[in-house]
Amino acid sequence: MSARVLIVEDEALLAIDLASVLEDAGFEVVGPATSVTQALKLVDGPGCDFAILDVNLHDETSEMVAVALRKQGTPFVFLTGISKDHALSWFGDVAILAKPARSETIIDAVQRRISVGQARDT
Amino acid sequence: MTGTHNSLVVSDAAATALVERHPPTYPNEMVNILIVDDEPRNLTVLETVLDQPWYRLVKAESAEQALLAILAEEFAVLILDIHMPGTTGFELAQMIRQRKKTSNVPIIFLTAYFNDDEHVIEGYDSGAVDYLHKPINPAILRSKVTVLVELHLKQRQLESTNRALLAEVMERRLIQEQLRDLNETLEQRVIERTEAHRMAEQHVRLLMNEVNHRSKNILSVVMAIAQQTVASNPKEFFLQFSNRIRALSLNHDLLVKSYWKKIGMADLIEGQLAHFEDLMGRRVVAEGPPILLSATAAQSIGMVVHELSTNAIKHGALVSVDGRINIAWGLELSEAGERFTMSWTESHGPPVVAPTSRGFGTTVVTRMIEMSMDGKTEVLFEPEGLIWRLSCPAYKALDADNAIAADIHS
Repeated sequence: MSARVLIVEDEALLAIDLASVLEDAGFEVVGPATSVTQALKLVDGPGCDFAILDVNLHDETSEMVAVALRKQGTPFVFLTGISKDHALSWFGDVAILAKPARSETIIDAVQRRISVGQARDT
Repeated sequence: MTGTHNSLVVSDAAATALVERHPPTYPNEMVNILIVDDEPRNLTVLETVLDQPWYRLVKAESAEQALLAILAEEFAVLILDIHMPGTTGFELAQMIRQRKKTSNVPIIFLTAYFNDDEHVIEGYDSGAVDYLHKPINPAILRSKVTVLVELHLKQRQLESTNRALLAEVMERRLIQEQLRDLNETLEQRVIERTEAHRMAEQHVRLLMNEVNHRSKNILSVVMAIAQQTVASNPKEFFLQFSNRIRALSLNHDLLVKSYWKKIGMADLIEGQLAHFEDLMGRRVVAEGPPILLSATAAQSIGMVVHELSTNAIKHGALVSVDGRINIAWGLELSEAGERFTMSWTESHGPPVVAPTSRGFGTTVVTRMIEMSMDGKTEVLFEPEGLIWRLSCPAYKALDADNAIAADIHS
């Protein structure tokens, strides 16, 4: 069974592109969610094995989504155009992928963390 | 004058010569001298003796007249005849001494030679009292008066110097206060300027961060467009990609023009279809109420209009010379609340053939806009021409300032 990756990204075109990159790499995409509310629904409902979070979502940030994922123990990475964001300081150990990111970088980041998670589970 | 001698003045050439060896310096102001004698003739004599251009002699024939004069003016010297009917010179001197203002005015008494007035005079404790025996020697009187006048002038000069000094001290104090006030104002201004500068700097930093964020975002969008374009049509990649980037750039011009806030729907359509300029209003008609789009909605709708128009040129209504496009938008009230609707209707074009594969253009006019505006799209390949429709919650499309927009356009 392929791993389920949640995409939280308010820029529709980026979300679609990210989704196609992940799908091409054999992942199942959850979402994409374009707002915190949508994302939290997906985290609580179908859930996911991994998440890619854009930090700034219009007037809000994905901080609450990160908190929810952390509670579940679901690994995630941030994807942002801002090199340093105060919202990220709460999650010091979480990787930050810089926008614009290459497809390979994203796939590599997801694969590495999911395999670590799976290794921990077994 | 009731003395033993008839004459007030004696001549003494030697004494005159001695005293007048040191002529007095001419002061630059008049000096008042009061001469008091009950005998008018004596007053006239004294006047003659003390005739100097800078002496102003005031005559009094009684103690009462003398007192009145003293009340009215300031005197450098008083010359009093002791023996007068009524109030004597002594009594007058006493009264003058008692007045604080005149207590230090020097007095020269005129006394008869064989009288014991001297003893009384010596009883005065003040050094500012002198006496002369009658008949008096004019030179000695002049000399005594000169000394006393000089003393008076020096005192007056001292007083005026003192006043000037005091005024200068006051002025300096005032200047110091003004200087301190100015300093405080200056310090306050420096603080204010520094604060304004700091705020401006902070604002610039904020703007730079925002610019950085937006450019990273737009670069990501460009990268996604490149990726999607190459995936769906590698052969025409460069043409399609550059056209899409140009469409994006057009939208940015509009966004910057509106301070990244709101864009009129009509302006957006006009901007994206600028290359149809000669067709606008004839074969391409855009109609709808004045609506201000949010920046996000404007970017998404702009991309949709670009993809639809590109398709119309390549495969749709604009391939044939009769083909028409109608673009319409509006606001509708439904059970789910106010909704923004938009349609793109082609007609009189070549026969419509539904595409076999979904390219990036299709993704933009369906999935992308749906996701971006939380809406629903419909694409119909009718025989008459392609029809595209969008319906989404009004708040997703509109800028908060639409009430104002309606006012401006009405």
